[in-house]
Amino acid sequence: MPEPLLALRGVSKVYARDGAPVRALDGVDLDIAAGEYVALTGASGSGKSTLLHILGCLDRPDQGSYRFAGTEIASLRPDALARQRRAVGFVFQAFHLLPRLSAVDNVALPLRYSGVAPAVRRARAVEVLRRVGLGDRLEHRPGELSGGQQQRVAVARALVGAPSLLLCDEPTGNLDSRSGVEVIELLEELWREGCTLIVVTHDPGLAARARRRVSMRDGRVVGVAEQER
Amino acid sequence: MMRELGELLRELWADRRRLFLVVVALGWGTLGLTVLLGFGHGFDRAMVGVLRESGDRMLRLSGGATTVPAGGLPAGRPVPLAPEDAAALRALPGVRLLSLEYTVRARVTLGAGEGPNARVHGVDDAYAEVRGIRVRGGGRFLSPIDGQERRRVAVLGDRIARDLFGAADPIGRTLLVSGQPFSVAGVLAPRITVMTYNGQDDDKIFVPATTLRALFGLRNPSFVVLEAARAERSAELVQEVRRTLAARLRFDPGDRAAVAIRDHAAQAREIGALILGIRLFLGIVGVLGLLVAAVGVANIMHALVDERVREIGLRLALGARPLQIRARALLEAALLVAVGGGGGLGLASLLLLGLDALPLDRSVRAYLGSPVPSLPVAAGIAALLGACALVAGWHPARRAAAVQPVEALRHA
Repeated sequence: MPEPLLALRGVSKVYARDGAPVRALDGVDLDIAAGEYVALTGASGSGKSTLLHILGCLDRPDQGSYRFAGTEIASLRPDALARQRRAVGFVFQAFHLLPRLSAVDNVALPLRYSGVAPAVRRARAVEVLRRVGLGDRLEHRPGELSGGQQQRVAVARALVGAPSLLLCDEPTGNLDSRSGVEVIELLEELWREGCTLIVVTHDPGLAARARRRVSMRDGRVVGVAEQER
Repeated sequence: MMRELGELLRELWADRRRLFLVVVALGWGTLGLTVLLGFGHGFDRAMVGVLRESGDRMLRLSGGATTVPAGGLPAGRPVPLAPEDAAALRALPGVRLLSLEYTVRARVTLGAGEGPNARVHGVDDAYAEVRGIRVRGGGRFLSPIDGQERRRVAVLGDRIARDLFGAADPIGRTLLVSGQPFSVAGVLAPRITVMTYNGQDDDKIFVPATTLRALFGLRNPSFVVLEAARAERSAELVQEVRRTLAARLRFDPGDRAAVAIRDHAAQAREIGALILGIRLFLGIVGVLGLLVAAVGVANIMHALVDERVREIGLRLALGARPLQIRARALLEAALLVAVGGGGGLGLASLLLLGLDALPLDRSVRAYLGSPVPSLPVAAGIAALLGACALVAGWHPARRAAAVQPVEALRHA
């Protein structure tokens, strides 16, 4: 059996909140194969966002091992870690766009860090913005766009580097239902093209669309369900 | 690299309102410092020049009166300095040059009519060098032959020359001193001296000592001026001069009032120390000012990083290397310093050049100097500002690069 794309073994993470330690993750074992579509569900504080951050190399486990395509993430030095992050596309609930930059500049930002020439960056950014249906909003700033449009800019930014892994943290949490459906359909389209898609959500409707559903409670994985559609 | 800079510029431009204050503060600090140091430098240069022109290795002697009995003679006896006494002093090894100086006030005219009651000084040819006097082009100072032959030649101070002759060239013209004709041999270059006596040289007329003596029937000079061979040993020379004269004129060597000796060299040293003090003071003020500016920049950079924790976290999440984040913060600080400091330097240069172009009175100008932003001052300020940028940018840059992306994004 080939090695899974993502492999977690005994991953734990403890935060100090108001001086008291909080066990956000408690011995998580999880394998995710390339090309999977996984929903991470659970109540608020169940550890699903922490798990997503560790998967995206934004955070490190206190204990346990996390291997990304065979590489032990804990062993990476800062520059290699930055390179690893570029292989991941992130979509956040709060969009996290830079308010001073235009849509096209926001989308081009990850390419800048991977050393792509500016002219190429812009061309690629325009291309993905067209793809998410914002070809007529290139020079708008985030403040001039609706929530759904902002999230589509964020999706464009996540996919501009052609990542093999898309991580989405409540991608529809701040959107009305119609915009939410548009965004999730866009993400699924990318999944169908071969991307591995992991979505954190507490929306049962959204979770039901995934092929596999991982339920969490108190930092532990309490259930894994394969789903047919 | 240039592209990186271009994008940074674009982003900073988008942030211009917030950065405006930093730039203004930096510009203001630089402006103040440059003007301050420019003035200091100009003043400094002017003072050194004025000092040199004032005769900074000169002793000036004049006769006095005894205050203690000596040589069997009672106190209160006048002690006149005679030309023979001066001749004895000339033989001292510590004396390089010596001149007698007779002073009278006399009516000076160009012929019939009114004329000013001017100071006329009878001096020897060595006088110009002792006093640091320079003569304007086209003329000359008194020569040894003028003295030997008791020639009727005169060298005019700049102001009195203009009073008498207006814009016309006085060289070769004739003027009457108490009705006696004198030919003008030269005019002094305009000068301001800090160590004057009997008024400014600009207002005086210099004629050969021998001529003036004969004309007015004078015996003893008002002053004897001499130049010490070594300025730094002027105090010893003062002692030696006093001993020599005490022996000749029979007064107590400890009786300081018998012969008044003004040590211009010592005075010049004091003024030199004062200039050094001013220089030091300006230097300290300047360094403190820059430190304050640096602390200000550091503070603002801190605030900027704090405000941008979320943004920096996001950039890291999007794959930025810590080095890129650090370089950006440093570049930003350097850019702010360059714009603010450069602007301040430019404004200060304009201000100083404008001041230099103002039609100020010559004497004001002489003391003020030309407060032009000199190259060393500008280079020094630029170097210090660069150091400020490094200091100011380094710490925030390190903090920025140490931001944990997940922390930053969570606290959004």
